[in-house]
Amino acid sequence: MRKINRLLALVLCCVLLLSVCMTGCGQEPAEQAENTAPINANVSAASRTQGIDFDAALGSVTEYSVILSSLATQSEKYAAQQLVTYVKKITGVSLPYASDGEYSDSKVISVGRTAFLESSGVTADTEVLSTDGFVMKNKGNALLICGGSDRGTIYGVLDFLEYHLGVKFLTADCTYIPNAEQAVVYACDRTEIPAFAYRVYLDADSFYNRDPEFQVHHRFTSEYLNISEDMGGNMKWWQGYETHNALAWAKTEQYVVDGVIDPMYTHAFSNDGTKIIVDPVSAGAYCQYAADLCYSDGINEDGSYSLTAHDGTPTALGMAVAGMKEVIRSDENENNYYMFGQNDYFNRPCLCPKCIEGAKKYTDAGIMIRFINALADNIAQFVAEEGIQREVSIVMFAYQYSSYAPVNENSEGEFAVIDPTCKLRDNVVVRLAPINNNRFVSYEHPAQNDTTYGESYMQQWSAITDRFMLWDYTTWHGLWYWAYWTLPSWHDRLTTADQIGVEYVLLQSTHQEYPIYQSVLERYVLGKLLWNPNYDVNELIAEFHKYYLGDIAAPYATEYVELMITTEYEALEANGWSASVGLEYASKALLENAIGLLDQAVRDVEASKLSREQKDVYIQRLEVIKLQPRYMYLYHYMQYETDETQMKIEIRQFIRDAMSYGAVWCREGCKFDLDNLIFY
Amino acid sequence: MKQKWIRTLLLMLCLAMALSTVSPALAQKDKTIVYEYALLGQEYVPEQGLISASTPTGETIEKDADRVLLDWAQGSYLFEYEDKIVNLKVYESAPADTLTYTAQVPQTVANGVAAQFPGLTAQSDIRRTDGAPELEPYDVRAAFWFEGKKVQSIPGANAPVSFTPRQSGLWLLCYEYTDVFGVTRSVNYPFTVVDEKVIVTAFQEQYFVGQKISPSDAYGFYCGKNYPVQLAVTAPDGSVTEAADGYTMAKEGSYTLTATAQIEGQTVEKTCAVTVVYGLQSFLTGVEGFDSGTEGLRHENTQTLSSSDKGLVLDMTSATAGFRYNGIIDLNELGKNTPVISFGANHTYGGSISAVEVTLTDIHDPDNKLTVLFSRNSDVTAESMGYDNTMVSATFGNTKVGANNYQPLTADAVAWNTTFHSYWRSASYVSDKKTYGPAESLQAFNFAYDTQNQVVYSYGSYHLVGWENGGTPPEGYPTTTGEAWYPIANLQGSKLTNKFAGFTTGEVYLDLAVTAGRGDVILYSIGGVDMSKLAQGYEDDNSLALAGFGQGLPAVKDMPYDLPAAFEQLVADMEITVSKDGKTVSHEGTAFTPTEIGEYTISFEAINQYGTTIQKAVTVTAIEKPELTVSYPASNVKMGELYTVQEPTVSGYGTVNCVITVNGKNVKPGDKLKVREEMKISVTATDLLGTKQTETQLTVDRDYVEFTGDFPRSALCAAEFTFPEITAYDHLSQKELDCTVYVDGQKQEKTILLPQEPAVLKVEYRTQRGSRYYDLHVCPAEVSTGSDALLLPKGATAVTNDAGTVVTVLASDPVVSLPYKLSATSLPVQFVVLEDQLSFNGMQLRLTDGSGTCITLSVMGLQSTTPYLYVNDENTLIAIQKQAQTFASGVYEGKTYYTFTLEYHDFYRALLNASKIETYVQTDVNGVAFEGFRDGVYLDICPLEIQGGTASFAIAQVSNQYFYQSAFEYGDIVAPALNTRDFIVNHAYVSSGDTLKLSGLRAYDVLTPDATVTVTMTLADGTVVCQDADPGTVRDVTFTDVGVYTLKILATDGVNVKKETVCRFTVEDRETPEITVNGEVPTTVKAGDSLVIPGAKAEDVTSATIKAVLLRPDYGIETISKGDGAIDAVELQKLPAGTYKIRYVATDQRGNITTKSYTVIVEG
Repeated sequence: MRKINRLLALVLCCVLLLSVCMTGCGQEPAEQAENTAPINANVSAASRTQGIDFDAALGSVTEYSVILSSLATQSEKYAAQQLVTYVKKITGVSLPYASDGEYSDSKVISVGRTAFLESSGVTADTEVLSTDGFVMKNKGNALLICGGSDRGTIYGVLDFLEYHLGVKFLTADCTYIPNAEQAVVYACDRTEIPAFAYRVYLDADSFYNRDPEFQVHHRFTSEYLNISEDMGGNMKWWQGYETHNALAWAKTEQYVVDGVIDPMYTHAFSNDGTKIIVDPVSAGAYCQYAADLCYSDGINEDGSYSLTAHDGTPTALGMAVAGMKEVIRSDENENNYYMFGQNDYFNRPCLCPKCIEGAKKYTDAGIMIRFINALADNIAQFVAEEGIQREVSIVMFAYQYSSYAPVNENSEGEFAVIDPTCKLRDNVVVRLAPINNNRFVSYEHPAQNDTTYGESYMQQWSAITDRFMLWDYTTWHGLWYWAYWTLPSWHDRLTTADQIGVEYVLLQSTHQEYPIYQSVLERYVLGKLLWNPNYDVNELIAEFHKYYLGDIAAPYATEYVELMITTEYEALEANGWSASVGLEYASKALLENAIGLLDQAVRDVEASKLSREQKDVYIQRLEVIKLQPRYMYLYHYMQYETDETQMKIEIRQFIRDAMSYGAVWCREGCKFDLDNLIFY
Repeated sequence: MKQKWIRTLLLMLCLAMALSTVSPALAQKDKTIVYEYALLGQEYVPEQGLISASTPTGETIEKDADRVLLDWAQGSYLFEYEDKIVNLKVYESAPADTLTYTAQVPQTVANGVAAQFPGLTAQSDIRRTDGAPELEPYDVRAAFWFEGKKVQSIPGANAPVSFTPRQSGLWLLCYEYTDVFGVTRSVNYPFTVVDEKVIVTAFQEQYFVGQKISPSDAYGFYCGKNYPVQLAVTAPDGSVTEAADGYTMAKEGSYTLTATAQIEGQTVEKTCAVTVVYGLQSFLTGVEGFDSGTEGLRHENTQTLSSSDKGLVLDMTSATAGFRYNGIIDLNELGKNTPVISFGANHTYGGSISAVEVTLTDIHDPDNKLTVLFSRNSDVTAESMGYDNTMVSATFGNTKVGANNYQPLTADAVAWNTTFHSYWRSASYVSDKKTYGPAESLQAFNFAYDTQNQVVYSYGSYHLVGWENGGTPPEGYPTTTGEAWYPIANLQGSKLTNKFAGFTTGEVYLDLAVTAGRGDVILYSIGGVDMSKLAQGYEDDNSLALAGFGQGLPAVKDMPYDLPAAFEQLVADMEITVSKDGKTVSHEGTAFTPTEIGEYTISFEAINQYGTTIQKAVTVTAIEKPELTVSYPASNVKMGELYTVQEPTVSGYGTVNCVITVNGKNVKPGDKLKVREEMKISVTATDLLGTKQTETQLTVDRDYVEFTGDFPRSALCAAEFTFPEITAYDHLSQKELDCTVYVDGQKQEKTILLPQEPAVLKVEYRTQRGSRYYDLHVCPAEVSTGSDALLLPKGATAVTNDAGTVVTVLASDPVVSLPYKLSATSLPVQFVVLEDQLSFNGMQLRLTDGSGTCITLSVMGLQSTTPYLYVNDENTLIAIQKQAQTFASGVYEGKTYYTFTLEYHDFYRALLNASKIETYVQTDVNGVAFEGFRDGVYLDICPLEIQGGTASFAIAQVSNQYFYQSAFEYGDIVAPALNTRDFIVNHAYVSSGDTLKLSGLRAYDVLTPDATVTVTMTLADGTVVCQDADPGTVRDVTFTDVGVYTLKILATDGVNVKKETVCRFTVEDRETPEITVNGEVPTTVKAGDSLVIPGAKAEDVTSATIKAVLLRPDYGIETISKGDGAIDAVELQKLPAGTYKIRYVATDQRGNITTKSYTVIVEG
């Protein structure tokens, strides 16, 4: 994995170097003339079709055969099947398979590691491409597609379908397939390596693991997904426990007697020095027994550790180590990542004197790191002793109280770890989940100083480790139907993540709810940005709308999105980028305008010459888009209108409509209720 | 595999014997025997860790020997290591290999045509002691050489290989393999490729009945060019058919296909023998994703079924698969106890089928569809299950009826043999209201359809996963496990916003689609047809259906008569004939016109896809044209009475529809109308052949005196009572008449003193032309309590405490009244009942206005768990909350009680509103169309179904007055309530042109009758239209200008308690600004070039701002220019490549927005 980091760092250095060179080559900004406006953009949008020469057609794809190695893996076969399946859908022609063999200048598409590829002189270096990258290159009439791994090969084929042949994988139930009997294969020399090794946009499709093939089409891998090895496989993440799982690792149930933690183990669980702290109200596992582990238990002042307490009982560390060893030993899937997360249901779990003293000295995150370092050392030793060949990493969840890097800032503004014992081990990845950060701006924006994280959040963590994962949020988790657009910030945020070497990005949206258009659109747009943060967002939005809504409705939808976002960002800028503006920017006139736009789109579609079936599809999608401004209008109804009875009627109608499109939740854990008008 | 085992055991035994002389102490049983082979004279290099070694002759080899010369053949060297023993067999020369070909290598093949070359089995002659081959056959490659170059190498040449040479000349086929000694061996065969005139065919050896072949399945070929062929088919009966347009295999048997092509002046012919059998394609069309159809026993996984049952097994080959049934299913005929489809799912491909959709499509209306989905959540792998399972749902249009716990429906989860795993996410998201148990794997499905009630039924084994509150399912649902028919989806369920209207005639097409998972589908029956018929042949008469035939009507002579619709999706070459008396008569298009009366036969003939001719016919009788007649009964009606609209008498051709109007207003039979004027009744009747109208004028008897005025139902004992003014209007003379008041026959003064004791006075308003009688209930009241706002019947008592004014009434006269009219604008009534005093089962509120319009609202079933609301004695099925509470203090401390609240709203829409009420009153208690109360209302409160002689309840609130001690203060301190039907007494947004009608505004007070109201109206520009004026004297106000209009209402009751209400009516500016852009925005520029954004201006009725905003490719947003009313052009320099959006945004004072948006591509 660190090879990837090195590679990314290398790429970044090259980019920086190039930018310096360009400046040095006299391309300094021209003196600003009157009536000129400076533009903040300084990087060209990345081409999604780089390396494809659309002026050089090699021939119709129907003239081609597919080559697979006789030793092809199931994933390579799957890649080839995808190719054949979609070409058939596009052209009506089933591509034949040709035998693998020596390279020849024939019209073939070589998929994966074939003898044809090996003899062609085209290379697909796994070291360079890593797991998900791929090369796609023609040599003569032959087109060669090969990934660094099988998954990369699948992505290469999907890339070919998307950018040579024009297939658009839009939503789980909507794939645009052009009707093109003469679809063309172009000359190309294309190498694609994703910015992040693992990626996922956590909407309901991902959260409920709907249609693994669709997830593959979006090139997502995640612990939330179940993608079989035949389809390229998933990231090697042990999925046994939920995210907030420390109590599960410790196998808390072993220490429960008559419904409470046996007093002899009090030291291992969150306690106030004498008794266990419990949180029976929360839904988290084992909370009725203990709010969390005591992360000081078993950790000595100098960072050394003890697996057993003086009385011979296991320490919290000992429990966690034993639990994790057992899992790793019996893990038949040979995973690489084992997540260790604090309880989400009780912020600041242990109040024993040692933890309180430790928190003052090391910070809360520092206590957690010292604990996880000890856990990591034990696991590393265990892995070596057991002869386990695979790389094993522990993922530490930096969330809520453990979000903040244990660092000091010197007079020059540089950060250094607060104590050597708080520097993370090499076999630990920290998963940052800055849930309360300002989602509208970059991580380095001064407005982040109004949050608890500050503008140097990423910089601070970089002083602790160089191994990162990121769990961030694109929508407002409290009001799922509120149009809380954060799209303008994601180029900068993902670029930062790329620069510090984040391995895995999970972007959480309205993860339980389907008919929320912001998530529908974001999945497509941000899904692409997770591959390359420099892609052209305007282009992506226009593309999505064109194929998802048709030519008639697409301009309206794009205008709707731009209207809402530009209004929102104008309000944010005017109010010091206060994140709360994201829930306040919508005026009655704006919402009327937005709803009016979408209503007009419906009327235009209705008046068009499209088939009845196609009209119904587009109109339903437009109605789903409209749910968000309708919701916002109703949310402030009594500010805009005066008739409360009418409001209740309209709320009921909204809920009915939303439910007919599959709505269930108005926010996490809270369902719509037609009788009680639950409408937070 | 078994033989290998035996062989290995034998070898181990032999080895053990051999080794026993070498190293008897070795634990040989734990060591793996590895056989290796070498030729005499080769050297063997021992591996690290050699323990012992010996030659075939038993001589010991030194353990530290770094290489061993193999100088003895026909025996084994043995090398023992820590974990294995190498048995090295040495041969003087390699034993011969046996080469076996699957066929002869062809000597000559045609250029450009795929040729078959035999497979080669190369088997070493090294044999075991029992003579069997010791080694597996070698892997053979076939290499094709031309002019000294290898053109293609094909692995796996143990089986026949196909190769297409692309050049004519002498070729070499080289079979290659590497033997066990590492020596590569090859066998070469030359063959000649010639340019030959041939016919290439893609015919299969076997077809299924119903499949069609095409001439395009074959072509002539010579020197790289294709030539078309003519195709002739010889059927099993010897008949020959030229098949220029293809040929459908209609029967089982042997066919001969003859393809002929003209190639460069020469006729070339090729014949192919094919066999036709019944199979998958004989049943199904549009099969996708299924590999084949084979007859099979029900799969072992379908545990609940008999092993002798047969079905059709479809092997699924892709992630999704589907088919269409080749026939039409009549759901009516099947009924709800015969499966529409019965199928099972098998587990292969490492997963299992997890979602199957069966779609029924109305043959008469393709948009009328129903999909029944069987699924295990939305996952496709068994390992990923979580949450509650989605089991079964039905979908029509956008409406889903489901048993999904994520759908807020009453139907609950009945697992359909689905798998439920306890998954790590489950704990947080399963419903805590349910109990769960494991279910089995997705297995067998049957569903039937009840066309009467639009309910999907299912039969099969089931396992109940969860039920609300963990309780027992309702009657009719299975409780644990078993087999049964039971409803799984009610498509007309009460909770559904859309109801499924059903199929036109019940005739449907059926499609099945596997939408998730992989595996086999085993079909048992479709549409009542057993799939085991596969072995017996199958022909489906249902391929052709007729429908919509004349709606059961006879034909009419000389008039076009629609032919029945023929649904020919599954047939071809439809021919229609119409005949009478054995003669065929002509018809045109979709109709024919009978020229004489009598019976006609309409025949439809078509060919189904098995080639069988299907014929269906219907008959119809032609008659003379029937006459349309319509009449309406005339009658006398009396002014002031109710008239019930009658059913007209009609006859005509088919169904006759009538539209009835009374004085131009639409009515329907049974409507009751109060006679207030002359009544002209018009009936327009329409049948299929035309329209006819009749008018009836009712004779109105005007001998009627109409009395109008407010007469109270009750009054206080011993109080001074002034008889209200009642107007008597004589419709005959059209004059008002003088009234004189009599009580019990005695003429009265205008004001009297009422009796001391409770009584019912018969009050007569007498005129020269008749009297009107009113009952005046003289009631007692306890002035010291809140009950002075109530009029109590005889024998009733009232005491006020903190629960309310507790009224105890006798069952013989239980009606409690409010003494004065109340506002119906918002009339809440709350009463409290102690649990141990709930001696009655209902409570009725009766609202009556001065014109006699009356409605009743009753809460019935108070003693049950769920009381319901009745309106005018009709059960609305609206549940009223009944929640037991306990008094914390006061006289009832510790006692359990119930509180009920009804609130009546008389807005412009007569909306009833209480805890869960939302319905409209259609008619009043007399059945007269309800148009709202004309004025305030009297309120009577009456307990119903009293047991034990008395009923006791506490009135807590009526209208704006509270009736409990802590809130009630003696005297009237509460201001009047306001009421009007014409507008909402609140702030409102209105549109320009709307009118405000103030004249109907009234003030009402519970305790004093003579409340007054005045209004002050101020226009948006500050003009005062009226000030402190009686609303009855104020003209309507029309809103015109944008701005806020203010209405101040001052209400004052009889004891001068005032209430001022201010209503703001806002006319909003909804006009959006206009943007004018001063020039063109370029659509493309080169990266590095400058981009000029033209200036623009915004115009609006109010002032407007305008700005230009740039949306960068990274979606960064920049405002590049901003101004009031106008902005100048701006030049943007050195834009990096990408897509940019330029947006002009104009915003007026209200916030109305206009945008103009442009896309600019900056080309890199």
